[in-house]
Amino acid sequence: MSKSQDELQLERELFVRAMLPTIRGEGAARLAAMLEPLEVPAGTFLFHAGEPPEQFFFVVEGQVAMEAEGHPTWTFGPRSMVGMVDMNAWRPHRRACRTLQPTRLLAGRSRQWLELLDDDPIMGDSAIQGFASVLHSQLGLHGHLLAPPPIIASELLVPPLPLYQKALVLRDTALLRRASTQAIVSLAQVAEELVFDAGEAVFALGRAERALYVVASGVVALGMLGSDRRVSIGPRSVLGAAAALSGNLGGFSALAETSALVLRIREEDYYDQSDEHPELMRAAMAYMAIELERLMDLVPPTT
Amino acid sequence: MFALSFASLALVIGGHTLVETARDTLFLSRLPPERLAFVYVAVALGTLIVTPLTRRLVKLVGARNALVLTLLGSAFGIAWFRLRPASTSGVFALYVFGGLSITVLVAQFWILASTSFTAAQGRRLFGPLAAGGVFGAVLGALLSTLLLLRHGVDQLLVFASLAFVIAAFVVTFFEAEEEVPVDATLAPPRLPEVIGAARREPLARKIALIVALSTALSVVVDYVFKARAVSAVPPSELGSFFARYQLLLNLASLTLQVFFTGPLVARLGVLGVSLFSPALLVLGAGVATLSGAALSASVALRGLDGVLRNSVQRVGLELLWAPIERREKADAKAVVDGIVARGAQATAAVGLGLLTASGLATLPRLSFIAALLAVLWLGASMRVQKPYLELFRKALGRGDLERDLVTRELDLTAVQALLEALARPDSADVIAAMNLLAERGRDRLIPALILYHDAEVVLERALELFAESDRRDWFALGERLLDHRSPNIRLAAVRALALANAESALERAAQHPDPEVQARAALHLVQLRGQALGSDPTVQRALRAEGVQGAALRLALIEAMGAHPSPEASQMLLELARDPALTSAVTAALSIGGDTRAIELLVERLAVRRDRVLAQKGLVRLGAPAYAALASRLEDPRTPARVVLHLPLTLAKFENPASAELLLEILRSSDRSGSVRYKALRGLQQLALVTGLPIDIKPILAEIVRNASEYLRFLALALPLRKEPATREPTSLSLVLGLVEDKLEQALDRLQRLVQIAQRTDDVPGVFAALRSPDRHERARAAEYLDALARGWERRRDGRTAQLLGLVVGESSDEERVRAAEPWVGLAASTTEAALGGLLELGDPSLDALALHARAELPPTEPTAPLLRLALIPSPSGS
Repeated sequence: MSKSQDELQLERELFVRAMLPTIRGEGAARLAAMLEPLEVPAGTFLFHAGEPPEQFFFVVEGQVAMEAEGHPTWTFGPRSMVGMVDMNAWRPHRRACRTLQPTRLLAGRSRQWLELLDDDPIMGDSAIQGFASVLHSQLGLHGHLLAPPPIIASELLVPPLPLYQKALVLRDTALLRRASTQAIVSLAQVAEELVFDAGEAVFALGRAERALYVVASGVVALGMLGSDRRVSIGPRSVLGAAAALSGNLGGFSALAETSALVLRIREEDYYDQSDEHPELMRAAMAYMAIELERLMDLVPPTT
Repeated sequence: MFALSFASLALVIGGHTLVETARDTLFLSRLPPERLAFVYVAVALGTLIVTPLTRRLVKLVGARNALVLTLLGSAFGIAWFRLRPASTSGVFALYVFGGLSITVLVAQFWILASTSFTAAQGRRLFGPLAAGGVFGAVLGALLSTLLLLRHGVDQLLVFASLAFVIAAFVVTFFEAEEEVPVDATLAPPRLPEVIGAARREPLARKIALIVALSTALSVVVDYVFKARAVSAVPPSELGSFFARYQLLLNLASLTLQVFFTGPLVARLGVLGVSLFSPALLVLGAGVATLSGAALSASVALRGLDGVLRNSVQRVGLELLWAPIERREKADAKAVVDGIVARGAQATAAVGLGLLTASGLATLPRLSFIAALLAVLWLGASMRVQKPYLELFRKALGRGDLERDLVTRELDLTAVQALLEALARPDSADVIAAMNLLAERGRDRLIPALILYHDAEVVLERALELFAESDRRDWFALGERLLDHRSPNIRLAAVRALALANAESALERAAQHPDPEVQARAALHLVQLRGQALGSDPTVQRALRAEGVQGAALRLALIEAMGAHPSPEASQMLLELARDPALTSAVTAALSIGGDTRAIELLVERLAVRRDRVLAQKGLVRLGAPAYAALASRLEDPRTPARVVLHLPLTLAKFENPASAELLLEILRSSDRSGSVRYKALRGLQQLALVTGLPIDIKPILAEIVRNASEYLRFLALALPLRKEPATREPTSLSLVLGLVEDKLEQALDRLQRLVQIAQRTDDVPGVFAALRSPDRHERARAAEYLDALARGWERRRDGRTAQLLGLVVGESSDEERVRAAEPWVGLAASTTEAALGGLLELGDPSLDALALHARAELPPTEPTAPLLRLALIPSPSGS
């Protein structure tokens, strides 16, 4: 006997709640309502490289592979999401996605998912924090494999910075590159300027504020609890962005390698702005998706 | 496209005017007016036969080709009547043929036009397009008048035939959208199916009623006019009388069309326009009745009917069809224009025939019947708004499905499925099922046996849920968990037992070998028994303990005090709140109690994101005193800005009439920051969506006007900046343009929220999403829908809301919008410098800072163009 719409909705909602436990209540119900069940045989392409990221998929049963020439294959099994990296990064798919076995999926429309996050600030915040936590833990495990970030040359900035200059600095960071100008200008208005001499601590281990620290000029060395490795961070970069967004910056220390000007945006201000400008959340998701992709290219997911 | 449409309609109607003058003259000079009833019936029946054939033709060869073929056929037919010797039967046949051909031609023309233009284009262009018909009628009437000075009426037929041939040639240049004929192998739906589909659509039914009544009215009015003309004008002068009459009528119609129909449609909207014609005809028929159908009154009534029919009425009807899907529209329209209209015509003609046969068809009596029909028509038009809007909602494809997802009751099958999920091996599934049951109020169905589960995460969640419920059936199993191997589970169990007031279990836990369990149980017992906290050694130990364990004990104490509130506990909690490490826990504890001393702390905690939700819940629980405190903090200049920022949404959570009024006040205030007003707007939106509280629509409409004006003002300033190459470089000018573009987006976002407040039952975000659809028809429908809504809100107002909103969401280019908005927002800036100057006048600090710098960076130029001032409407909410 075929299942009623209500039964199917309930089944989907259970799946969504089990897979994304931080999503509850109306958010889970709405997400479940937007998903379409799909059963495909092995060898079916869910999308090809170059196609717009119109859909994302939850793998319920089976296995899929994401492939691109010259790159290692990513393999995903049950309870995985595919298509999210490109969707969050706002760009066409870089990899094709093909089922390796007969596979049951739930397919959702990217636009609806993003609208859902826009409509529900609490869900948006949870999404950022959830994604940031995943990225933070992955960076903890595999971050050492990444090439150090390039340090770009920049003009010497003399505090106090005018609003436009703060805004230009923030706009150039990978985290905020895709945020709206209004959101960036609002953040620039509340950003505090901190000046450090070479050798001075920006924050010691366990002493970082719940904030985003943006290097406006100079170079800052970032160290991590339990690791001797220090990474030099240059201008127009955020210190430990994933850690900061997931509330884990306490596990880091930062030391000015040269005289440095740092902009500090308190977490409360960031989320207040994100509440008003949902595209700030989308910009953060885009940044994190690209970072995660870099890691997955180095350490391909397998099932 | 418009020029072609205009020309072809002018030729069609011009040709028909020639035919009409000839046939009326020939008929009435040879036959008594009573015979008119027979031709009306014949035309009506003939149309019933021709309509399905026409529909089939349109489906088979497309709207454009069908019109070409019909025009050529009409030209041939008219020429044939000119060549054959005049006779009574020939005159009769000419009358019927002329009636049939114009009915089919006009219907085909408007099908072609309505598939070639969107609803929004139609609203803009159908008025002027209909003027093409009237223009043709004027030319036709003028030609008739001139020809009749030297020739007989049969000469008119030659020119009519020629006009149809030229029209066919013009129509061949049409670029119809659906050029590909429908696959001939697919059988078109049968007539009964088409009629059934038309009947099922409420809007089509209402339009059908309007068409039926207006057609019947026309038959009666036409008869009154012609019967009165025959009795008052000698037969030899009938031809020139009709020609001059047609000329005057059509000149008046043209004037109305050119100068009034467009503004009338823009002013009254679709629904207002549909009332216009019947209202005037009620008046005209009333005067005719009272005058005993005098010649002047009969001529005026017929003139009024003719003038309105070819202008306002036609446009109004076409716009009423707009929300119906194109394919369905073609079917339903064919039925209404054919079967319904001709059926009404035949019925009216038969009625006329019966009245004339029985000698009851006196002209004053017929005038009265006409008045009655006009009143019924007016009534039908007044009832068209609801189905019109309903259909737009349907066409936009958005329902209210999403809103009732979480409120939907779980039925037996669903409960069964969830209980089955509790037995799944994956803990995530079990937790999901428990959460779902709890959220839908079925937490009692979670079996206490779940506390035997292997997974700690499941046990923790189950204990949390049981602790919040009033069940006692889990106490024994819960107490068993005090001996669980995991310390986390042991502590979760003691916590749950304490929150559920399981005193005897707590007494046993207080003797537990695990000192942590023991300490927590003791703390809860002190609270539960109402013992003095200050002197209790267990509490004192918890307050003094150091290190991680001390912090954990204090958190447990705070939780215990929250679970069993007392005045002393509240006081102690407020003291503990001074420790930043404990403030959040204290906020959670105080949010449960009902002590008004907590209000101040809870208000302060609104500033902290992680505590905000609990602080809001606590304040709402405290009710009126908390509301009063919030309202007073709003006015207090010492209140920190971050607290003020979160006051509006907190006020909204009280869901009372006072909060709605206060939020409206904040929204309209010019002293508040844009961010605070934006939060007030969101608060009002929440109230509109989740409560039935009345929200005064007047200030909401005023805000729509303000925000639409702001949108248009920023658009006027954005245009020159968008052309500036420097905005594509990392310059401050690029920031300025980015900011202006964001202001446009924000204004749209606010408009969407305001419309949602005004129209709380609709899925307004869906409508605004449709405005960005790649499908132009969907965009046009969304714009049309918003227009109809806005006109509904301000029935007795000046129409500014609809006009400004229309400019924001309409399909015109940005340049056209800015030009059209000049009366409201002033002239557009023509240069980058002028735009920057305009931005500096707006008084927005962030814009000022950026625009000033950008202006300083501009290369020196010739003396600048005068700064074109923009109307300075106070800036609405926006940050």
